[in-house]
Amino acid sequence: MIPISYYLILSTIIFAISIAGIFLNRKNILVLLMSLELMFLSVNFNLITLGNYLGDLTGQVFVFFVLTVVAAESAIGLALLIVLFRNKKTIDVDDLSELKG
Amino acid sequence: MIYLALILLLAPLVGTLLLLYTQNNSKRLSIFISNSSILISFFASIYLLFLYFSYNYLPVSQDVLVFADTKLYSLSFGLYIDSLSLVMSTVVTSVSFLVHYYSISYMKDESSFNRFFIYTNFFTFSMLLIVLSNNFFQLFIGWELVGLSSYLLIGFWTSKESAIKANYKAFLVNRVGDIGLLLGLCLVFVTYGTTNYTEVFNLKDTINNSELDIFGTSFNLLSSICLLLFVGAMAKSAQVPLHFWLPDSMEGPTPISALIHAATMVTAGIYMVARLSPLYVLAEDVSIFILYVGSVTAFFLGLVALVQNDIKRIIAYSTISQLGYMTAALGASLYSLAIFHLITHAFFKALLFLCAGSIIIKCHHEQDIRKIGGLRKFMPITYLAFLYASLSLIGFPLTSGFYSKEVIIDAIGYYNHTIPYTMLLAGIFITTLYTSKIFFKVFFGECTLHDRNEKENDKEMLVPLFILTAPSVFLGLFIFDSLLSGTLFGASLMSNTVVLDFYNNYVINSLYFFLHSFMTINFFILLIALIFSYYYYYKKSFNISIPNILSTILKNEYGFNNLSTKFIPKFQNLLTKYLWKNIDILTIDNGIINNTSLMFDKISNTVRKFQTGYIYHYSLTIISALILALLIIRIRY
Repeated sequence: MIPISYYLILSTIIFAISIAGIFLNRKNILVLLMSLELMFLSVNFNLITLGNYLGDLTGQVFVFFVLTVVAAESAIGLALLIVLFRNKKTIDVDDLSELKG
Repeated sequence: MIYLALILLLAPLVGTLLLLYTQNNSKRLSIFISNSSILISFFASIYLLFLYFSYNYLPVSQDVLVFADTKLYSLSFGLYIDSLSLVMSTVVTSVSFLVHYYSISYMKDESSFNRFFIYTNFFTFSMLLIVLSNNFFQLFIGWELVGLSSYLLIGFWTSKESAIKANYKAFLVNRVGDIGLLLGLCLVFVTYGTTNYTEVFNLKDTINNSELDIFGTSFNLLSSICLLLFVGAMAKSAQVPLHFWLPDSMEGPTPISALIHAATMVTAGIYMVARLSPLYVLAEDVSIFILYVGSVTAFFLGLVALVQNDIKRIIAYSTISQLGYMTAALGASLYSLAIFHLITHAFFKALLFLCAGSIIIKCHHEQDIRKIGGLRKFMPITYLAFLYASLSLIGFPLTSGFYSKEVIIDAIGYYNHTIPYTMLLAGIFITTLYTSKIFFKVFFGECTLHDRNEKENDKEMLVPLFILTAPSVFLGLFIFDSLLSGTLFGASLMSNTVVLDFYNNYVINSLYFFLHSFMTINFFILLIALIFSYYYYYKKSFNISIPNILSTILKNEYGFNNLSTKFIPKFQNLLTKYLWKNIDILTIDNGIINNTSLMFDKISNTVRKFQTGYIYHYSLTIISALILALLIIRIRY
């Protein structure tokens, strides 16, 4: 039996990687979206682990909803990315600072 | 009775409105409207006066219209009908009507003929508003309207620069007085909680001894009220030191000078003090002040008249001096005598001014008496009218002016006010001198008229002279006894006993007073002055050179002219420049307004740097804030 802390540590590592992906990424907006997916994944992983641990099915069912929302959200994100590329001819994060004060 | 009084008050106002509506129509229409409206008002006041005395009515104070009515106070428009207000309104309307009638001829060549009558009608209305008012609030409104219409009339000839300056001056000087009046009015309102005369008079005893604290110094409340109100009266009735607008007001048309000097404007201050005599009687310190202001005015400004050469300016200074007599009488608590002199003065001064107007028209707007002369043969009616008016002015026995003026001087002497008494006695001498100066220079000597076959003047100009001569000469004798014994004004004026005591012990009756006057020092002074001026101005048998310093002082009118034309503007210039540079630009513009915007600019410049536009910055902020919040929650709970 693998102890629960291993699962939680794994999920934390994934979460940290995704945050690092968002913060440190200076080049590609696609990487940003991927990091976002990763973050959702880590959260889902947490939900499943704890749901299993507590013997509560709700957590595992909730993951399905989250996955649906994430799929929809990434579809929108990608669509926006395409539109952005059409207009700007770039997906470089550093170039996208139109709202700078 | 109240309706009749309303007609009396509102007829000139209705006249004004009609005149405004028809001002582009013919002259005849506007003559008709203006004269008939004043005439209606005159008849109404005569009839009221008759009713009042024949049925022995009691004074009536009635509110007609309420402007504002709260639980704390009410402001209303009302009428106060008693012998004082009726006599006064009769004087106002009669003089005003004669002036209107006179103006038909005097102003016939003016292009803005109709505008003139709009103003004069309005002027009469505003004066009647003061006279008939039963509360301080309405008094103030009338006061301001009189100021406004005098401003419009003095500057009637808008293309004449000196007239514009003069009306500006009149308005500003009156504003100084208005501040006093307004403060006094506010004080009355705050202390008594009402503006109604009767209610204030009923309350006066309870508040007589209360004190007023201003910046740690305490003043007697009643005295402060009286003093502040008197400041207003000083400006309107041209007392030292707020008198210097009056000579300049001569820039207006001559009938207006007659109206201002006789009936509608300068009498307002005297009337107000007499109306509020129940308050002034109690404020003895203020009364002494009023007495001295009056006698100083009577003496020193009479002196100025001696060095003037403009016929209207001389008469103007004589008005100031005569107003000084009235004010002195008010100060000595001889209210009915002040009103008496006001009435007779109204008639003979109106007559003098109308004569002067007739002379000026005849001499083609020449007002310098050195350039006028020998008019006796060509203007016999004006000559006679002027003679009677002058006799009345100098107080020659039996004329109206004699009764009203001698009685003031004698009464002040009787009550042992030595210094004012001396000044007023000297005033007789001066009055006689300047009056004979005009009289002898204008009517005697070489004739200066170019066309000697001309007729005197229009009928419209001569009729008022005829009519005014009668009251100028006989009115004094007619009302002397009833006025002094207190039957004429009865309860409307306070301190009857002061006058009555004087009457019973000194005057006894008009005939005795007349005979007695030949033995008094007054008559002696008058006689000397007459003989002196006969030889000095008529025979020119000797020459007196006035010391240079004295004549400069008099010519400068004690520096009041410089004060108003040089020092005050200079001071005002400095003050406004200081305010402009230091307060307006430095404090308000640069200090408050610009600094505020600069501060916002700085703050927003700093704040905008946080908005970088990079997603990772935002997300970093969000997540670090989240972590921080979680940490705080973890630690606290």
